[in-house]
Formats: sequence, C-alpha cells, structure tokens
Amino acid sequence: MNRAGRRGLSASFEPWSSAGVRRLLAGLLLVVSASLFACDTPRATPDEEEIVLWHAYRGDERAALEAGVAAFEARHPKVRVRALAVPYDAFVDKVSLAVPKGNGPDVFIFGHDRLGDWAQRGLLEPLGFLADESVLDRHPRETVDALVYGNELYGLPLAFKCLALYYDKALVPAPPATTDELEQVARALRSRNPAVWGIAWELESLYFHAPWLHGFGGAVYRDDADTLALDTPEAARSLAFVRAWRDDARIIPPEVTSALTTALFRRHELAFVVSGPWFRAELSGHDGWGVAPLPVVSATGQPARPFLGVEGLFLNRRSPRKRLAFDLMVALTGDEAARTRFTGGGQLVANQVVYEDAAVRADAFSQAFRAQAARTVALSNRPHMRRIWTPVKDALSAAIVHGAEPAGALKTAVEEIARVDP
Amino acid sequence: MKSASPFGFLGPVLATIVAVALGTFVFHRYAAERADSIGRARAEQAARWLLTHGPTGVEDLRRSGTVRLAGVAFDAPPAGSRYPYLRRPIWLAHTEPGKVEAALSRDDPAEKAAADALVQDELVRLPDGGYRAAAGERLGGGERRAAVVELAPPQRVLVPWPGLSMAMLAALVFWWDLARRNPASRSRPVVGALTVSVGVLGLLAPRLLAVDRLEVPASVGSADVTGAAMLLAGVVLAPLALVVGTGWRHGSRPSPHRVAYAYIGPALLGLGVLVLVPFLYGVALAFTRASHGEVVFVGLSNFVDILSSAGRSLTEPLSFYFTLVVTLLWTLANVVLHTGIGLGLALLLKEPTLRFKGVYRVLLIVPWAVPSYITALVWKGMFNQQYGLVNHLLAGVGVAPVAWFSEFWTAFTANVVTNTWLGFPFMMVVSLGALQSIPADLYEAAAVDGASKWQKFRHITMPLLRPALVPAIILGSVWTFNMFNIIYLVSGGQPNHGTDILITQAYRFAFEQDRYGYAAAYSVLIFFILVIWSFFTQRFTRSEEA
Repeated sequence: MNRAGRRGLSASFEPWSSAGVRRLLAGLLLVVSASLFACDTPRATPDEEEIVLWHAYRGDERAALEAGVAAFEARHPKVRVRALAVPYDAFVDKVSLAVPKGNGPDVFIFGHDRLGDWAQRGLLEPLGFLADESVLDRHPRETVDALVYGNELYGLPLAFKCLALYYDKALVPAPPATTDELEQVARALRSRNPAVWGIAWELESLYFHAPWLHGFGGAVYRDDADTLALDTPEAARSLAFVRAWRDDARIIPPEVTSALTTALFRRHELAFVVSGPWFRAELSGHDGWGVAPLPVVSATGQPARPFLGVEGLFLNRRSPRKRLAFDLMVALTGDEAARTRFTGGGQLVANQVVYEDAAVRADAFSQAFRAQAARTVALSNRPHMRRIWTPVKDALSAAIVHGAEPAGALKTAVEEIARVDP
Repeated sequence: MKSASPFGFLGPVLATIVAVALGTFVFHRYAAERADSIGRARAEQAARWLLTHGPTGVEDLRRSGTVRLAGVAFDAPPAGSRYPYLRRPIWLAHTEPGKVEAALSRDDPAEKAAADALVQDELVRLPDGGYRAAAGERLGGGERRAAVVELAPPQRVLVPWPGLSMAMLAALVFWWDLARRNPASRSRPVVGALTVSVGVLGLLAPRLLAVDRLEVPASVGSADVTGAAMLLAGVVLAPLALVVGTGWRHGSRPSPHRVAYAYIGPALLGLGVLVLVPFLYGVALAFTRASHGEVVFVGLSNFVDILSSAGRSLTEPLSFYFTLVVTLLWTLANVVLHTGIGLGLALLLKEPTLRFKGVYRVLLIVPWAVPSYITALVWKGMFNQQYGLVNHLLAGVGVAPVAWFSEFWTAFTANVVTNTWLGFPFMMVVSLGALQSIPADLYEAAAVDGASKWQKFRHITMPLLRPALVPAIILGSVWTFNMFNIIYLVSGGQPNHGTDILITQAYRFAFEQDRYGYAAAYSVLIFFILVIWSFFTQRFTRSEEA
C-alpha cells in the first residue's frame, strides 16, 4: 500500500478528513496490510492435507531437516508439511500449553527428557500400534528404549548426544583404555611440565559426573522404581574417585569453567576433556585432537557410561491425521533423511545404516560417539528427574570441590530431593 | 457534618448495584464456562484414561459411581516381540455395568458395530447436561481400540460466592461511608461484622475455585489461577471504582477530575494488563503447587514451608532466614561502600586544586557505562583461582592463591567487590550534583568564623547533601536487594547456596527446580519485605523534609 493510495482513500471521506481521522485511517490501513503480509504463508488447499511439524533447529540442522521434509512432500503430492522453527527456550511451554488446547503441531521434535511429563499428561500418542519391528530395527536399540515411558513407546529417535573423551594428540599418542592408564599418562605429563593439566569436565554437574557414577556401579534411580539410588556406597566411591584426581593426583584443574577448558585444550595445556559432540564447534580451526570412548574404570572393570540423550519425533495425541503424521515420522527417521541430517546437518543421527557407509566409517569423530552410545545409560525421562539436578549439583560441589564427606553430601541431596518432591 | 444530598446518596447506591450486577454476571459467566470445561475435560480424560486402563478401569469407574456408562475395547502386546512396547490389539469390550458379560463375547456383531461407531474421537453434551466422550483409534489392518464414557451433568461450582463477596465488599464501603457521615450511627458494629465476613469469604473463594474431584483430585488448570487473579482484581478495583466514579470523598458531587481520569485511562489500562494482572497472577500462584501448566491448590503451605524453613535449621544456607540475613548483609555492605566511595570521590573531584578533573570524572563513570553482565563475567574471571588477575596480584605480595568461591566470606567479598565497582559511580554522580548546588559563600562564612575542614563538612556539606543523598541511598538499597545479575554470575551462590540472595534463590526454585508456586510465594515475601522497607523509608524521608 503506497502513500498516494492512502491519501486518495482518506480524501474520499471528505466530511471527516481532519488530520486526526486521516492519521487513524492510515494507521488502520497499515495494520491491515501488515496482517495480510503476516498471513501470507503457503496454506494447504482444500484437497491437500496439512501436517504441522515443530522443531527447534537452526542453521544447517534446520536445512537438513527441511530437505527431508521436501523429499517426503515430493513422494506425497497431496500432503503439505509446515515445518515451523519454534525457539528452544519457549518450546516446552508452547507444547505444554498448545497441545491440550488442540492448537499444537501434529509432530514435534524435542529431547527425550521431557517425555515422561508429556506422556503422563496425555499429550503424546503411544506408537505401539503404529510402529512395527522393521521401523524400530533401523535405530540403535538404546535410542529407541530411551523413548519408552511406562512400557509405551512415544517417539522415534532422530539423533543422540552423549559425552566422550577428547584427547590432545600432541600430548597423548593413543587414548587410554582404563582410568589407571589415564591417570598415569596425566601424571607423567604434569611431572614433565606443571603448566599442563590432565583432564577436565564440569565437576559439579551430574550430567558430567554420570560416567563415573555408572562406572563405579552406581545409578540415579533403582531399577524401574522412583526411588533414588544416589545415597549408595558406589555413588560415594565415584565422588571420592574424582576428588582424589583433583586433590591428590592433581591432574584436574581445581576451578574449571567451560571457557577455560576450551582455552587450555587449544593451547595444548590440557590432555583430556570429557565433553559432548557440541565441543567440536569450540575447536574449529584447531587440529591435533581426537575423540575416543570413555575409559574403563579400573577399580570396578566397568566402562564409564555417560548419559544418553535422544532427540525424538513425537506424535500429538490430538492430531486428526495420526497415520499420515506417523508416515512423516518414519520418513524423517529413515536412512535417506538420516544421511542428509548426518552430512548436511552434522547430527549424530540415531540410525544404524548410516554408520555402515564407507565414508562414515572413515569418520573417527562420529564412530567414536557411535561406539560410546552403545556404552551409555539413557537419561531418565521421568518428570521426577528434573527435580534432582540442583540438589545433586550441590552434593557434587560440596564433596568434590569443598571437601565435604561424599556419603554425607549424597545423603543430604537425597533428603533435599525428598523434601522438594514428597 | 453536612447532610448528604439525595444525589450523593443515590450515587453510591447505583454504583454498588451496578458493580454487584456486573461482578455477579461476570463470575456467573465464568462459573458456567468453567463448569462446562470441567465436564468436558473430565469426560475426555476419563475416556482417555479408560483407553490405557482397560477393563479394570471400567470396573474402577463403575465402583466409584462417577460415570453413568463406561466401555472399552482393548489390546495386548504380541507374543515374542523383541520390543515389548509394540502392540497388537485383541478385541475385548465392556459396556454398561449390567452388560459386562455380554460384551465379553468378543465376536458379538452388535458389540463390534457399537465399538466401530466410537472409534472416532467424540465429545458431546447430552440433552440433560451430561457429557459423552469417546476416544479411539482405527488403524491399518482392522486394528483398533476405543473407550466411551458418559458423565452425569456437572454440578455448578462456585455459583454465588464471588458475586456475593463483591456485593458485601461494596456494601462494606457503603456502610463505612454512612458511618463516616454520621459517627453516632449504630452501623459501626455492622461494618465490623461485614469486614470479618468479607475476609472469610476471601479465604474461601480460592478453595471454591479449585473444586475438581474426578480423576486428579484438587488439580486446577491455569484458568483457575487466572480466575483467582480476576477475583483479587475485582476486590481491589471495585471499591476504587466506586470512590473514583462517584466522587464520595469530595462530598456529594462527582469527582471534578473525571476528565483527567479519562485521559490517563488508557495508560492505566495498559499498566493494569502489563503490571497488575501478572502481579496478581503471581500472588495467586503462590497458593499452588505449579509446574508447566499443572496447578494444584495447596493453600498456605508454601508460605508455611518457607517461614518454618521446613525441617532445616535456621543457619543452613537454604533456609529462608539465612538467605534473608545474607541479603540484608549484602545490601548493607554495598550501600555503605557505594555511598562512602562515591561521596569520597565526589569530594575529591570538587577539590579546587585538582587538575584534569574532567578526565577523572569520565574514567570514574566508565564502570557504570559498561553493561553489568559483562562486568560481572570479567570479575568472575579475575577471581579464578589459577588464572585470575586477583590471585596473580596477591601472589606478587606473597599471598598464597585464594579459592575465592570455596568459602562463604571470600565468595561474599568477591560479590561485594564486583557490585561496588558497578555501584559507586551512581552515588558519585549524585553527590557531585548535590555538592555543586551548595553555595560557596557558606564555606567562606565558615572560614571567616575559623571553622576547621571537618567542621565545614560536618555542619555544611552533610546537612545540605542529605536531601539529595537519602533518596539515592533508598533507591540503591532496593536495587541492591534484588541485584540478581551479580550474585548469579559472579559467585553463582557458591559455596552451597551460601551467597545466594532471596531473588536468586527464588529464580532457582522456579527455573531450575520447576517449583513455580514455591518461587511465587518466595517472591510475595520479597515483595512484602520491600513494602515494609518503603513504608519505613517514606517516613524517614518525610521527617527529613519536615
């Protein structure tokens, strides 16, 4: 709408053409034209069916997902998929509020840790009737199992994340197989050059402590029950183990922040970092590093198992076209789409076939994480899990950094969680 | 006491009637809608629930007597699958309590037809006001499952109370006005009684709003919190509207400022929507246990938990009182340092013999110009044990490296140092401005009388600075009390939440632990503390002005 057009319109209302009215009309026209533009997104025509997909991807990941969507649309000419990028911060609230009111998407993508909450409140459609073995066989078993809550399957896995061991190839020729070996290497490096540190991770975070907790035979929950298993001797031993590395062996820098970890690692002043696939972005332009699965805990002979996080595709229980939406889910988690997401989006896809490709076999980074994924413990998807991060963080902080007695600190944390969630 | 004119008497009566009618209408609408939405939600949830609970669920519902009819078609996991959560349905149906056995015959064609009909989701209001909900699936290969539920008409909840309580409130104001006009009147005890009953009703109202007893007892949706907020808003605004609209306070005539009210109306509305409603929503939330859309009314238990510090000893870092003491200490330390340093620097900058004053002034204002997030992160880096500048400087004078965030007092000091760096420029600017306005001849006169430097400061500078400094200090104390950024970014509450202040603690409860109700109660308490503080300081400034 141009200026002359507005003037012409207001001039035709001669009796009211005071300055105020003219301005009001102009404003109204502006609002109307703006809202027309805002609505100008492609909509399904009556003989087409529309599926709405919400995701929180950006950049390459988004492009790769949209490529998969386009491939699906090409195979289903009567179907339109509206892929909407919803900001990550607002995602949980949007889904939790929109789905019960019937305004939600048909399909959406999110981390599996919210699954229990949504499933319990009846927002998600169980896939037990829709899926079959051939669909599930495409994915690593542990990524499928992570999407089960209360013996119902609620999603199909797209991608996974877990921690692994980054090492500096200039300092360490080959990754260590056990924690004793790792400690020896680190001690040797430290004695040669005191400016070099052995290993670093976010000491006070349960997510980063989980590998050692599981490696020592501990767990967050007792099997299949909502009771916590954090106040066990195994868990306490894992805390004491980390403290010994920090205070006695002195291979862990005493105050670790993520920025400092990156800086030290890039300066070749840190031999090992425990981190996830996202750490690669911090190392852009830096060479001479490798990734390997975390070592076996020498004291128990069990591998250090990090948490497994799975990004799943979920089906809205109120969707009016579940069968079609499920077909989209199957297509997006399929081999072709997974390949696109792997190469184009840089995702660690939860698809077995992709990792068998010759090109992918040669990629040490993704193979290391794929190998690590087989030695993980799925992050619990029960709603209760969200309540435990802060109290356990306090316990880790007290026992590892501030010298409190591990068993006591864990007991306090368990009491604190019980107090919050009776 | 002048006698009330008929118009003056009529005005409040009319306004009361209008307010009561409006209030009752609004809340009846709300109640009817809510009753309907509860009914629909119950029916739907019951049907959904049946889908997952099957025959035992039907039995449970029948026994509980909450439904008139329930039926389900169910399934079982296939034998020998590698994935125990994959499902293959078998046909199995229940219907009305009397027909359970008949329905158990899986191949009954009539039963199949009935089940076919309810494979589609449906939710209808029956002619008698009851609800019928069906939930189901028809999948490929003839697979299906379905459930149907019929509910009796819901009881109308919360029908008269909100309107009634508003009526009583209006009546209270009305009677109070009469009593004011005629002090000898016997209406005073009535006013007292009304006050008490309105209070009781106010207490009862949220409880009445939260009636919902079918599947999840006492679970209320966010609509109820909004409803409670609306009720609170009505209770606050109705008498206000009466007073403003009828101009009681100005005798019998309507307010002469009505045009002014009309002008500020839109702004007031905006303020109401953007400030008052969220605020009241927060207050209403404080009486619930809430996390991501699910809200359960729990009365005062959040407040009881906080104020009794729920099983913690008072000196434990997570107890409310410990945090309160830390917050007060934090505020006091900062205000004293900000004022002291700011005033000191201002006095130095005023020194007539000082050169390059402009340069110093600009440099000293720089900390204020840098965004506080950045300053906080820079200082956090400087307090790092191994690589931080502070420990490097200390090492220069032979002090062993300090783990700043391991002990309470060192972490607290780090916070205070950072915030002082951020805070003193404001006090300096305020003091400088005030110092400029002190007439120089006062000092000259004092010099003639042989006053010492201290005497000049004590008897001229201080008294004349006070009117400018006191409001700045009050403002600074409120800012510091709720200074979230510094605490959260510098010490992060370490060690063990010891250095957390009330506002960071409230943030943690809400956004790290999903305890929105508890955090709301915390915020209400913070609000009350600041209200008390502002009353106190208002008195202080008033006596200052006098």
